[in-house]
Amino acid sequence: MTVDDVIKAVRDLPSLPAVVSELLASMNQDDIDTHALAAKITLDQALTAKTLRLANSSFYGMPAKVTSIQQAISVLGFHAIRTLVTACSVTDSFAPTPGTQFDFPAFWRHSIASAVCARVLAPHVRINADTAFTAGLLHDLGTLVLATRFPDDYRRVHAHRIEHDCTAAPAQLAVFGIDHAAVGSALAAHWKFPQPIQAAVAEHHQPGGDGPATLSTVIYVANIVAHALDLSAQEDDQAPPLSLAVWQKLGLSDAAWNGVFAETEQLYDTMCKMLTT
Amino acid sequence: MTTLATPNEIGLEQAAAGMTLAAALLDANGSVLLPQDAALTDATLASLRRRGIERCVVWSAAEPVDPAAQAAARAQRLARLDRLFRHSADSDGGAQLLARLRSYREDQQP
Repeated sequence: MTVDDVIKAVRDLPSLPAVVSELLASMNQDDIDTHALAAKITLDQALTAKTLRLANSSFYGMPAKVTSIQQAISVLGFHAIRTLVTACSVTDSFAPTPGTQFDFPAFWRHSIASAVCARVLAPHVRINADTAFTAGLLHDLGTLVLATRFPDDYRRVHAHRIEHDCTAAPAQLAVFGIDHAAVGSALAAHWKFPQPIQAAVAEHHQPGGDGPATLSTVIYVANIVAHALDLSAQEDDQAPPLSLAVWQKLGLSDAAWNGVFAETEQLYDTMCKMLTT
Repeated sequence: MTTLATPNEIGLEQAAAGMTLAAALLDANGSVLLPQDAALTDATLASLRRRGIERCVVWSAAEPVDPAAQAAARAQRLARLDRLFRHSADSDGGAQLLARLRSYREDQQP
């Protein structure tokens, strides 16, 4: 098992559905033909059904049901629908492998918690909430690559974590010589995610330098807060260290933090039910 | 003994005059039909039915809470926080986050 084997495994992963690649690419575009994209989403019936179920969840607080992608776009906005379709598609790309010991539900609970927290934090630092949600949902994808492509080696990661009471990254480094942030960033590049999302996946354990908060800052903090709020419900979970410089950069008041905690917990419950069923 | 109200999502057919909304009701365009904490009346219920609203979230009284059980639950929440921060309470920003969360968990209603 070498780093090259891992990178090769990433390159061998199937592409995302074409319409999802187009949606991701459109995150960087100003002139978007939403009608054409809606028509393409509709061609994928499973994706459409899942997206509409999410759009109709209490997450968006809509009183009336939307019954088509076009209607969902006109009510919720194209950005929100793009986020939902991307989320549905990516979560479907990694089906649990038979006989695996990896705890998929716990993995998704943490990903959803980070996504929701990123979405809540983003407006405080003028980052787009939908992009933050997508980046939060995908930030640990590298772990899924390692756990599903190398299930036997991943058992050793699990054992290392228990023995050293450490977080996932150092355990993965010890076993694979590469951690999920690096693997995830290779996957984000392979799937042609927009550059800020690639960077956020790569840097989600790094507090970053001076300068204003970026999407990477939001994901760095959202990951820590999701652990600290205990949302993945794993007994041996732990909150990673948080840089004081980042804490100060966010500059949230006590009341604002309380709002972030409460809103994250509230949105998390709804989103979990919708994305994992 | 204290009594707490919790939000409860119900179908409109279960809603009755005298109930209080725990969340604002919006129409398809996002406009507010009724604000949070509005009391439902027979007239507003009829109007919501006409608009095709199917569900709403109302406050419902929770079971009375035992203070001893409440204190035990609070102590448990704080102990869990210490466990989660076992390796990061010393990081400068981690200490700040832990202090914020501690106050949040202390005030939290079960």
